[in-house]
Amino acid sequence: MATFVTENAIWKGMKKTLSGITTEDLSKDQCCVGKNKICAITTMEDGYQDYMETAGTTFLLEKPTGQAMRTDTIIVGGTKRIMPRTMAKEVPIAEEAMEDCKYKEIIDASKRLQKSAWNTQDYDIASMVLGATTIIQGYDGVALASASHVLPTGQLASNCIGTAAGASTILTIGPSVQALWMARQQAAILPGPNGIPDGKKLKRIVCPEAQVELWKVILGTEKSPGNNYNDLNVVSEYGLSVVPVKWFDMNGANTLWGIITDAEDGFMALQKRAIRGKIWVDNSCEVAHHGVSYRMGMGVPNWRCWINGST
Amino acid sequence: MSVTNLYRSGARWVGSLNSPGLNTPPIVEIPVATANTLAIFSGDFIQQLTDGSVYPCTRGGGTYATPTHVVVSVSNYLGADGTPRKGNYLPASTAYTGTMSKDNPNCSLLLCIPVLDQLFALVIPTAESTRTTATAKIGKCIDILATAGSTVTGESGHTAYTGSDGTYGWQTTTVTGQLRLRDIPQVGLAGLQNDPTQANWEGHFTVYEIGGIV
Repeated sequence: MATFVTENAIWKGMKKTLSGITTEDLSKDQCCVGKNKICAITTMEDGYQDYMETAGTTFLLEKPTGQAMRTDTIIVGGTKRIMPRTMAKEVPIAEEAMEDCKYKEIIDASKRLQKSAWNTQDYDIASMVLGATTIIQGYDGVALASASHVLPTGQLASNCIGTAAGASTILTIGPSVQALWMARQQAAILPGPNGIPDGKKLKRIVCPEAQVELWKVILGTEKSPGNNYNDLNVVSEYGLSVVPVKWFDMNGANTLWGIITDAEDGFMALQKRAIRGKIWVDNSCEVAHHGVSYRMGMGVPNWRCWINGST
Repeated sequence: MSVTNLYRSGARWVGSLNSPGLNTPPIVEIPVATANTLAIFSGDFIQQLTDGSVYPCTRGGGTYATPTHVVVSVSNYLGADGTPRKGNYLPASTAYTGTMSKDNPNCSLLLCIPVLDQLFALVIPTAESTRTTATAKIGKCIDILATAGSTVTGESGHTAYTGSDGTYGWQTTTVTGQLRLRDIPQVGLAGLQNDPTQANWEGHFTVYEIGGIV
């Protein structure tokens, strides 16, 4: 069907001769959308939403007796603006096709489009991680996973595992207990806007389906997996959950993984308008149009929500 | 990180340039001469001949190099068992007796979208080195690669040409590259679902030279 559904193109469904029709699963099945996944979809109140970071005061100074206190200041950092964009698609269907088709499973345009919208939302949220090293997402105008995040103070910072701030290349490391040790340390020393370590905690490992079993062994084994069986497996106490994302596998990104931390204003999907289906008819052509659309904006204002493991 | 582009071969109508309105494609019914040499599939570019019939397009510079229509489906043809039927592709060598006219119940008839002012999605099998080089292709022309479609699904096998730039590949003239790239659609909010740096990315095209009847 060259993007227009006619009765000719679905001729196999014009008489009741079929015992089974296989099509896509049209149920709502999202691997990235949700509070315990990458992020939940929340409401966008206005036409856009802005997020800003502000650096506060740092350490105190000694004040000799009788002298005035030294002063410090507050610095306003970068701004991340999230704008909603409309995503939409429609399927024109000739009324003849609707009349002649004996199986609702063949056309079922509204349900198919609804599923497409759910998939698009889900993939879009996965895209924030898929594009972690390439898509500019945060306050500071650099990619989400970077060793060159810029604090309001001008200082550089890194949220890439085992990579120092300002390093020209970021380290990547495969799933392992040691990787989680490094990630925990990286999160614990992530600088706040004023440059002082803020101590973020690791929450969820985001990885492709290809890594799920490996992570479950690493997280679930009581004693140190792999070697020194008498050692404690300390990462089992981290309380991490695993969020498998099939979209990574679909794109061959089998080595990609990272960890979401408890930093506020991290991954965001803001919905201005929920998924809405509509049907309209071109009466002259006698064509029914099934359309679906939604308005959503997304972004990751606070890069401290992500510790990048591997790309 | 790489992206595996989802793709479908064949030309797919995505909109009208000058009359978006209700967004229904213009569709005409066109006869095909008896004993068509090549099969014609849904999504094939075809060229109308002087007698009004159509023939599947071939690669640029050839006899049937100027697309005038895109096939939607087949509203009638004479099956091998002698029974007229509908379908989504017209088998090769479909012979019928009688006139090439809608009045003849055995005549092969296609539903087609005239290409004038219409926008079609088409797969470009060759990856570009960067998004910037892909974007630089907007406004340029390319030939079709008229691969035969599937006799199982009836879907066209047409894609953009896969060879080097120049004669049939990306070029600024249209003598042998009839399709002009108008847009690289951003699929999804991040645009990651259609990546021109990977094989089989999708472009939106108009047919630059129309009305060429041989």
